[in-house]
Amino acid sequence: MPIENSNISDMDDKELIAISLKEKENYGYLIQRYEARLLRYIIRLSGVRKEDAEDILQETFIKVYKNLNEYNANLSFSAWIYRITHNETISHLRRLKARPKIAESEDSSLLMDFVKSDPGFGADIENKFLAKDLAEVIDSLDDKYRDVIILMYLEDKSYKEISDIIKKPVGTVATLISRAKKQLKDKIMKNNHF
Amino acid sequence: MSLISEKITKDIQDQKIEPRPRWYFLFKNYGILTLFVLSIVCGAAAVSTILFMIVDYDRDIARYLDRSELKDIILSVPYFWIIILIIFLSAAYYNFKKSYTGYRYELYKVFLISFALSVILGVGLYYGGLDSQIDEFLSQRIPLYENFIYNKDDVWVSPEQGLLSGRVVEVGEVDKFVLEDFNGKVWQVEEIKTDESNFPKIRKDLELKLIGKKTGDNTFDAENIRPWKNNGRRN
Repeated sequence: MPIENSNISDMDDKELIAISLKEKENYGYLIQRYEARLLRYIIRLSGVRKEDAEDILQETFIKVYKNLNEYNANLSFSAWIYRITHNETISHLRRLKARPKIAESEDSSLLMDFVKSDPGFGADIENKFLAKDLAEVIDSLDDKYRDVIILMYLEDKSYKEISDIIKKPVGTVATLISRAKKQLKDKIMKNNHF
Repeated sequence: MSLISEKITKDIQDQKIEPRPRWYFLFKNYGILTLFVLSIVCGAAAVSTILFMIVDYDRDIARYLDRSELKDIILSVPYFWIIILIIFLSAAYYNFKKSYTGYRYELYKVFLISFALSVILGVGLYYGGLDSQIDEFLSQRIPLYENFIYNKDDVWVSPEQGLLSGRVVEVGEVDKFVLEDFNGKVWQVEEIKTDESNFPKIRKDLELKLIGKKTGDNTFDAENIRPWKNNGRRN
């Protein structure tokens, strides 16, 4: 029996999982809670068109539903569903043998703001360095560095959440982020953008 | 509900998709945990056999075999078992990482903990007496096993070089007994001099290592007698 819409926003993820396992229709509420941010994440991670991203999202949610009983409270549901989304998106790109790229100009500007506010970059980035230039440089990073940059700057995830999403220890995440920033800075310098 | 959520829930209902049951994941998780524990146990077996081989190796016989000390040390390293240990530690690491939150731990920590567990358990197996049994079991059941390890049978049946080993088949008068070596040849042995601290009480079916001198086709004077296993740790 579907739940009243008014009660849904009060429920946490675990409660939504519980009611989804009891009644398939209720799974729609869980989808609704995550669909917008996961769709945006898929596009950010892969650069695919919205229609393709929706296909990936659909596959992701079906996979999540099949594996709902696997989830346990040792990690946040958000990290768990992001992990599955991440893996599905990467698998999709591998099937297409495509390289990911940052598609949205809005994201490029957002990235530019974050990078400029980062003490490691701020002073070095000049105004003539455009957001689209930065997006190109980020697209050229190694995938492992690009992934953590997106999760940290665009998805606003903590080290712990990134660790749970990409299944690496927190220490490794910190190293990846540090190396990602260094590679980003090196590439910006190398491309003579200053 | 949004269009996407409606479409997905409709697909789930139309295709009669069901969540995999909880027992499926419990089985998978316990399976991974079991493989991790098995890897640790196999690693422990490797540790106990390494200990056995190190303790059982007779460092004082190099001079009888015209070997340098360096060659002796190189020969005594149980490479096969060290490789086996590394393989099982890697398997333990792999299985741990596959567990639900195993990825949260650094490689070296998982490796060190697996190694420590294998060593603790391996020392237990060693003192429990399973060490030599593993070696013997593999020697008897796995045809190529002895090609990969230091084979002390070959070394200790070298009467021309003063080394002899085998099983006591008859205890005769004082200081004399009959020994069948591991190649099946029967020897009349006379004890000339023995190291009291290492000296086992001679009885039938006891397996021994002798250092001494060949005095005839089937006679041997033993200057040093020691038990076949573990330098006297147990008979």
